[in-house]
Amino acid sequence: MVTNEIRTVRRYSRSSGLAVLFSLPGLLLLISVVLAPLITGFYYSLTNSSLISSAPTKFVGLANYKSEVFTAKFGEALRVSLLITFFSILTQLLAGYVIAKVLARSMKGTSFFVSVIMLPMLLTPVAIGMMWSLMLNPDIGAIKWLQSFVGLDINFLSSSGTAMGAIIFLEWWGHLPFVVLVLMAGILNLPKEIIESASIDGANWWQLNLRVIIPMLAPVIAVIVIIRSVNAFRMFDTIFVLTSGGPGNATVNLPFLAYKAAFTYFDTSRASAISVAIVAIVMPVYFIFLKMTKV
Amino acid sequence: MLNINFSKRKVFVTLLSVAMVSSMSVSARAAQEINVFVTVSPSSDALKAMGPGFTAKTGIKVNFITVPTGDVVTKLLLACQTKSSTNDVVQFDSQHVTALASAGCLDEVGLRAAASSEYQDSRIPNQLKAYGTYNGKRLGIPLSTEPYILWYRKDLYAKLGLKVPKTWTEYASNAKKCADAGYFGSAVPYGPAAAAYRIGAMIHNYGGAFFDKTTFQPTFDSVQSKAAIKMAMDLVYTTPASVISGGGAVAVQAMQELDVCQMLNATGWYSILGDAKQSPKVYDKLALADAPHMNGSKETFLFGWLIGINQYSDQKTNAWQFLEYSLGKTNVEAFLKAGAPPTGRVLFGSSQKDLLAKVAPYTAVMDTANKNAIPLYRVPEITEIMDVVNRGLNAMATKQITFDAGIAKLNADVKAIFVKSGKLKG
Repeated sequence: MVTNEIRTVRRYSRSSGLAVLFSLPGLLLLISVVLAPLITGFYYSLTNSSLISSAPTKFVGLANYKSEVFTAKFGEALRVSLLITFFSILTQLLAGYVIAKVLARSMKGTSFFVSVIMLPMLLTPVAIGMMWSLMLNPDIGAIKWLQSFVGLDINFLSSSGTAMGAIIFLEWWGHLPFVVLVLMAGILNLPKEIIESASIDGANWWQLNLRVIIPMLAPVIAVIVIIRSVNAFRMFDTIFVLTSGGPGNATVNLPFLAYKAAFTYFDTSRASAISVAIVAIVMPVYFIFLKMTKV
Repeated sequence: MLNINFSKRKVFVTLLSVAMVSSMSVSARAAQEINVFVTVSPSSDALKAMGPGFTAKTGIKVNFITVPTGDVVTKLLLACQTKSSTNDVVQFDSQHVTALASAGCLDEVGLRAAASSEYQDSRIPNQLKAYGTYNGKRLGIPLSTEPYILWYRKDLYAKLGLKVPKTWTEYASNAKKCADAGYFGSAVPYGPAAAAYRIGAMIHNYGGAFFDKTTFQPTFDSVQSKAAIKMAMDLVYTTPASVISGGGAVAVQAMQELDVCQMLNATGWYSILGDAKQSPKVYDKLALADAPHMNGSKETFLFGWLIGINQYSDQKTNAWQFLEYSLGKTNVEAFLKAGAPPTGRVLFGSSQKDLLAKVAPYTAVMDTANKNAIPLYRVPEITEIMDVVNRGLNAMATKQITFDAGIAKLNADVKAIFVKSGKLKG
């Protein structure tokens, strides 16, 4: 009996040793592409490292955080990031829910509409930015032409409010298909009996949606909010292509601020400080959501 | 059932082998081989066309590494940080001389140029030499020279009876007449990544500057700088809306598609605006003239592609041989025929001049601009300064802030940069 147990333990430890061995490449990959850059970035944020200096790198403590993170410029970029994240996700959830509800009904032509709605998801953010910057061109763009029918002449990229609106719209438009897909999958998997029972009990449309369907979709919505908020918060491509952060600094968000420090000023230490701050802001949100949803 | 018996030793040897093979993946380059780092441009196309002839003559193989324009300086700086010898000849934007020089990326190519009878350095105007120079060392030779000049629509000028403006006051007056007639008067870009360059040239024309070169105190609030910025902002009303938010390329697009009377832009755009296929509406209606000036000052910034040798190259002599072959006296015509815009070198002989007149009919205007050219401020902080000035001017043009607040912001932002770098006290 004891000998058998020892054999089992030995076999188990041998197989777990193999398991560790087999997972080693994945672990090394994870360390090299996730942990190592994070640690290196944190290290650089504590130095005066710069791409345009041949002088030896010095340790400067928290100086980069003082000059880059605890500033009005950072606060303004944080505000832009939060506005983009909040409004794009809110509108995506609202529109996504309505579209998903409609598409979840088995109607004629549903698959065609699903295919059409999914199109933006196939485009890269840079392609979306390029396409919309042509359409939003205030002199020759399609939007100007459309505006002419209703007597409007708005240059969306020339004021801070409309430029921000354009960025939020593109973020909304580009990622709406993802939200629709996930919500539709969630709706299709809801237990029909509960919804039918609620209907038989006399629940009207609002009650059915607000008190039955949406609460049952809460885990799905939480997953969408987690994924989309992290993505929207670190959005860069669209801003780079569409507004370059303008007018003035009106659409400079945190990733764009980090980009400018790294690739316009060539100051890797300042860029690292901003990037570490972005991680520090996003991580707690991510963990709170994980805990809330127990995903 | 497959029974795999892993011994610790076998696994260790396998992993070690993989590690050794990986570490040996950096292959040695042949001695008679150079790598030329270029970006997409007519100049690099011409360089590529010179490659086979050079190889046939010298036996040195030429490999071209082409990267997107926006990546040039970053890739060079990153390679330089690792002291990489991969690139031998490097093409770079003249405005990045300071960054590349500060990082110690470039070899002093000026010494080789001065000693070469084939390159004939004496034919390169001093202003062109200056824009490749940093701290007394010449680190780049001109591959293309692209100063700002005046572009105007001959047909609209004729229709409205306008004269080619000599001063900015005349330019503004022409712009107003164009606006009154229902055309766009000007296409000077005010975008958040572009405004500082052309308006910067205007500031210098008015006798102003971004900052005092000895004290580093910002001078946007000087009478001259304010007058230039005021003039630039007064042109916003007659500028196409896309150009208010855009850069040089957007201004070119506006010239192609809209009825814009005039603009200040680099000569390099001729390859697009002078091409019937790319600009069918305007290619034969555009004319070029000297950039307007003011108060007798014709100073303008000089832009264009420079080319040099990587500081860490182990093929410096071969690299110079390639530059000498491509840009030297023997192949002047071959280089132009290959589609290169003018480097700015002074040409002799009617065949060279005729050829240049054919490929670049703006040569006379360019030569005048070259004579009045100054390099962009040679301070390591310049990229950050240009960014804040771009954004400040853009905020003023889009009415995000008032004129006075904008001037104050420009001064404060530039001062903050110099305070951070220790050149000014806070």
